[in-house]
Amino acid sequence: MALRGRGFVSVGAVAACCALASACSPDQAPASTPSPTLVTTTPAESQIERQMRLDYEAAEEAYRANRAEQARLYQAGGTTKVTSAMKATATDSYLRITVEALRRIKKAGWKATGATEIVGVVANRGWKENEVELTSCEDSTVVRFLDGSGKDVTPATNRRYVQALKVVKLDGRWKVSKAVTTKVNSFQGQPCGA
Amino acid sequence: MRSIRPYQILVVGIFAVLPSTVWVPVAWSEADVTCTDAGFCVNVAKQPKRSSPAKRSDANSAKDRPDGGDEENQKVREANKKFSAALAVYDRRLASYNRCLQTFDPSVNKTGCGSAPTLPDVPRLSSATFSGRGNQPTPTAGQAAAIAVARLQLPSIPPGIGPSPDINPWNMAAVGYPLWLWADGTTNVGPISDSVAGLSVSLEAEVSSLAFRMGDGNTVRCAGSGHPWTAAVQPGTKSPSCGYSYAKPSLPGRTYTVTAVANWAVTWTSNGQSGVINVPAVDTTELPVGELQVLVR
Repeated sequence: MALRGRGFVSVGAVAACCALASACSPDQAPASTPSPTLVTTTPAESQIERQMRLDYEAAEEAYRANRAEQARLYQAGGTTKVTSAMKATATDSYLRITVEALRRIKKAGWKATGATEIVGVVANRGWKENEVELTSCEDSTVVRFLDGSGKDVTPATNRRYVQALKVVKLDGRWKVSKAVTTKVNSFQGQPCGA
Repeated sequence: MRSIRPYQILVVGIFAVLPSTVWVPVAWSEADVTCTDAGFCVNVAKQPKRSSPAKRSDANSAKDRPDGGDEENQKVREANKKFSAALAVYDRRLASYNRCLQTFDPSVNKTGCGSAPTLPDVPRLSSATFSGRGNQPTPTAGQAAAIAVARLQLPSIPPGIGPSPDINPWNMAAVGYPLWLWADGTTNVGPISDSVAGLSVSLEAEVSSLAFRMGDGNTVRCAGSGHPWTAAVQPGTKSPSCGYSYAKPSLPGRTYTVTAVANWAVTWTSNGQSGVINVPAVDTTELPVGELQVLVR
């Protein structure tokens, strides 16, 4: 109802305050002109929200550190020992499996070039004290493997993974505990996809 | 609080073969498998932690090992796999629903979500998939909690807007007038108990955050559930916690669709473990907003 015209001035809700809010009588004096206020407010982060955010950040940091160490070891030709960086960032089945894979690389005399790309990491629904779950999209197709003679022996298998990760806090440190892998042809539509 | 279950790694033959054949893709697509950079995959099977009920006793026996066991235990494992798969589908749909709600504004962005998103169906333990002797899955506490939370069907939160346009002669809100916003419904639920496949789950839910998409492209985020406007509020008073003033009218001919997107934080406890599951809820209302004029002589 924009009744703009000669003699009319839009003044927001000056005289209409009383009518808009049933609390006032018709005789009541108009309230002062309210100025339009800015719109968006930022909510205070609750204690639990802060804790969850920090836990997820720390868990992702541990996971990324672990993957960086794995990449280094793959490029170095595997290992038969568990490095301190691996132990600091992984535990349980995840540590055992990743170390076993590196041991196999060492035994076969292979070396890797390139490193797995972490396309994205997202926090899963739910949070527990000292345990969170992440979903990561890993693209290992860029990693090539060469045998001792320099021959490319990269496996032909699909190596695009969606990893459901369980990350636990042990003695104050977050460590990847378990990964459940789903092989995908594309990360499109995946929660962790680009 | 932390509960790490022992896991047994089944290295299925893969270590016993030659390196040239090590990398052949494994065919355990339905099992829990961890794959590494070189395509090296290992089956990771849980040794389920059993805690109580008698109905789960058959799965509780020493024979219930991931690497062996009788036919009955095999059925339990298969039921668990199916259940986990069903729950994973549910999780993906819930994640999609949550992502959709991040931008859902029916009055501004109709392409992101299409129509109002709906929560996905919960995997039903009573379905044919899980009927019959030995076919009942043995979910983890977290899985049981997810099911219980989904069953809870938490209510949406209607957007409370005051003063209501119904109480003025023009039946509209006015540009520039401070509106109060609040959660016009229950903001606490529970504690409630549920039982999922023999696991008792205790739930307590509260609205932890509330956002109003005002229909004009702006969003108001409230730290709490807002203060309801009452007739005792002096005209022109701003809400102490959550409010908004429109800068432009929707009228003539239109209304603003105000959407309340609430987050239910559901705290669950089961089998000595606990956690929080966030469940969003969305509700809308239509609000006509116009300009008021006064004659200046």
